Amino acid sequence: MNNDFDNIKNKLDFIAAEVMFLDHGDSFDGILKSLNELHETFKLLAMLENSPLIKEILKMLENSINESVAINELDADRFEEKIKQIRTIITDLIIKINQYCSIINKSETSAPQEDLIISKNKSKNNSKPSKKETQEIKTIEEPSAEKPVYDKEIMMDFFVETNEHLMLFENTLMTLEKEPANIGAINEAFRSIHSIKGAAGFLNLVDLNKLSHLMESLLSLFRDGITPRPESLHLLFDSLDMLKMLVNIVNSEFNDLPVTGFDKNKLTELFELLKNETESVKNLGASESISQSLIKSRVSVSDDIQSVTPSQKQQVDSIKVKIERIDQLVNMVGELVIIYNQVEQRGRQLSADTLLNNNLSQMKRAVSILQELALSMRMMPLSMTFQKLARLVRDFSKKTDKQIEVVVSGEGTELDRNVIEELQDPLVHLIRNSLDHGLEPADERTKAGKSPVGIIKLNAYHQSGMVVIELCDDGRGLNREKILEKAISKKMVSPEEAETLADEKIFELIFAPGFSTADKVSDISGRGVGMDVVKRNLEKLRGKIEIESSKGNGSTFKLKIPLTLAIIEGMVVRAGAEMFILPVISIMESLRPTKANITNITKTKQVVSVHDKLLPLVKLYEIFNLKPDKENADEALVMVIQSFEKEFCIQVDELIGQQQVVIKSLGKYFKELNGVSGAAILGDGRVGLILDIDQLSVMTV
Amino acid sequence: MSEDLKKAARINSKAKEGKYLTFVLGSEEYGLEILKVREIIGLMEITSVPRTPNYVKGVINLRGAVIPVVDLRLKFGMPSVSYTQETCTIVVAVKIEDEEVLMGIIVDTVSEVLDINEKDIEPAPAFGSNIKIDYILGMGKAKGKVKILLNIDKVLNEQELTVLKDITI
Repeated sequence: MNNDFDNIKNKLDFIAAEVMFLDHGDSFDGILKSLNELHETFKLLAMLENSPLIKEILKMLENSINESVAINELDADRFEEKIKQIRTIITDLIIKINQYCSIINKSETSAPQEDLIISKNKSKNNSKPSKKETQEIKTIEEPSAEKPVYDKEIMMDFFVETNEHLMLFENTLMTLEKEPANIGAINEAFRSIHSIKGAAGFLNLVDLNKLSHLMESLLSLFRDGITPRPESLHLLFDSLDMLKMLVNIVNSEFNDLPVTGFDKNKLTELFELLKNETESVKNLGASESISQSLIKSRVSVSDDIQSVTPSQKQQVDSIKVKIERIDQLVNMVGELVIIYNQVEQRGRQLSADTLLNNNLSQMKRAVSILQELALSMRMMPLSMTFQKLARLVRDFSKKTDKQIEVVVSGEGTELDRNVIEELQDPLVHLIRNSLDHGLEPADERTKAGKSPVGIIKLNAYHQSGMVVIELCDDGRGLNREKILEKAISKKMVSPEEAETLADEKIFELIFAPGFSTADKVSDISGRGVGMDVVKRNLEKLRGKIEIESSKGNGSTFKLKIPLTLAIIEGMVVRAGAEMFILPVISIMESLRPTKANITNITKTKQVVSVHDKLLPLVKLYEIFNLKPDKENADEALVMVIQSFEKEFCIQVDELIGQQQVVIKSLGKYFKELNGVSGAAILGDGRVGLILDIDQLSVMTV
Repeated sequence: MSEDLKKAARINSKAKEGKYLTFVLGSEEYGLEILKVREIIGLMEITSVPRTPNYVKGVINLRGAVIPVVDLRLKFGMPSVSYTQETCTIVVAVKIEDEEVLMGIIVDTVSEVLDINEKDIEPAPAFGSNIKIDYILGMGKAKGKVKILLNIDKVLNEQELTVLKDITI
């Protein structure tokens, strides 16, 4: 069989290449020949196998042959149209045939997928190693467990919708934990699982269908009036995790990726547990009164509990758009801004042309608004992220002897999608720190006079062009002394310096790589690798993190991230023949120092005295190996810069002007670059390098 | 080429028949798989990027996208020459760490697009076991001359490529 497929693939490659470069007048014969050969091949396959996919491929082949036959008779214009059509047909054909080939390849070497084969008896009675079992399993397949042969569109929709249902279900479950008697939530939960069951059934995903069916049975008891007990909810949480895993497996298989970490036994166990729980609950019936269950569960304190209905409403006034379309839109708007800048510059040169300049200023307004709108399309609310974090806390709280509540507010605050993704890891890490090291176990808390239930507050809001995400716990707080101790032992500060350091500076020490004051290393934190990653991720987003903490009362971490990522106000400067861009917000002032203000520390290092402060001087031409107009600082221009870490000075030749620049990433090729954070297209079309202030500041030391 | 040599070098042979864009560097002609070529532009103003190897000339503005530009002569360890009217930048799509990126390569002159048949492609010559030459897809024969067919992904990913300048045909 394999030879056939190589053959088919070769023909496809040939056809694709030919069609791509075909010009009017070229012969179509080669292509037609290959198409016909493919047609013959698939006709044979159709006789051996009654597959709808093969039939589809045959139809597409016939179509492409018909379209191609008459093409040479057409004139140049019609030819262009026709060749475009044919290219599309051929592309679809290639996709379909590739799909077919990969399915065939898979079924020849397939392992058991979602088939229910392992019976309970085998695993209980047989003490023989399971290797033999899996061998047998390969051949015993349930007839209904066909591998899904659906096309990309349907599967993509399935994944998107199912994931939405899963998210909603998780949310509802967490609500139910706090309010088991919430009828709205119960109905919502039932609906979500019912939808998943339906979709899974339609696509013949057996395990997914069975699991959701069993969950639905349990949920229907609650819908009929029985209040869910903690054991049921717990089981539903575990089942939810299994559902997520199963969906991931289907996804991996559909994309030809390997499947790891799936324990078939766990799945069968879950089936049993669900069946048993459903029985038990049915028998208990209405014996548990509602009031009892309310007392057992804890009612949350916050006003902002995410109840079920608002999220439903949100879905109605929005539409689904493919992410790549939005990215394309944002890119094009970016390009528009760049070209506009160039035109505007030209307009300034032709300042006498008032009509042109009037039009340009009108255009500026329109382009600005368009830019804001485009960027805003990629904005997503933080609610999903917060929900994930809340789930983390809940699971942790169940596993340990720490009782923890999560209070969430401002989850509707929106951020760019990509930013939210970059923030996931840092936020998870910070929460884990709070859970592991910050919050004390219940008894320790009561001894300290606090309520036994620890509280983690997640908050988000806008503040002067930034988005602030607050993570606060009422635990032990950061241990100032311990941090200093560790820092001194690692030689990061001297004992004398330690005396004078302000609290904030001390707390910032925890961001150093390898820093940890944890006595115990758990599986999720304590190794000292997390905080510097948090800081680095934030810096990537040009954001920063502030820490407030007081002993015994808790800690607050504030993450501040600028709202617009892609555009900054840039000050264009020149050093030698090269143009660089400095973010305007980092510039404090610029001056021409006198000889008296400049002091030589070593032969190569200088400091400049500015308002009675001595600031280190960075000479751009030295760092970037350029030939400057003037080498001496008192003959050149000096800019005073404020970075995250400190204040320092940069020497340049000339200040060109302020410009709004679109930040373009330099790409993977330049990922090791120090001192440059990106590139921007200047008004004259040239590329200017955006200076990385924080990195430059370190280059002075 | 003798049969033994052919067999020994078979492991390096990866060139497929098809269309190749040929260009000139010094006295040699090279070829690139046409599907990797995005466009060919004249020389543009290059913004140099500091602290990069000498063959990385810098970045250019390609209709709003900032892409890196590499001088292929310098990459191959050949002496550099001053750019002329004929000097071009070929914009290629290469895979760097599983991501497709656009890059420009500066060449002396761009020749033409050639259709090279399988029978006209020889596997890359083996120079002995220690020298890796997996950046050569093969040697293509066309119009009486031999072109060195490059695996542009490997060329732009590897650091040291001075072996190429020692190849004599």
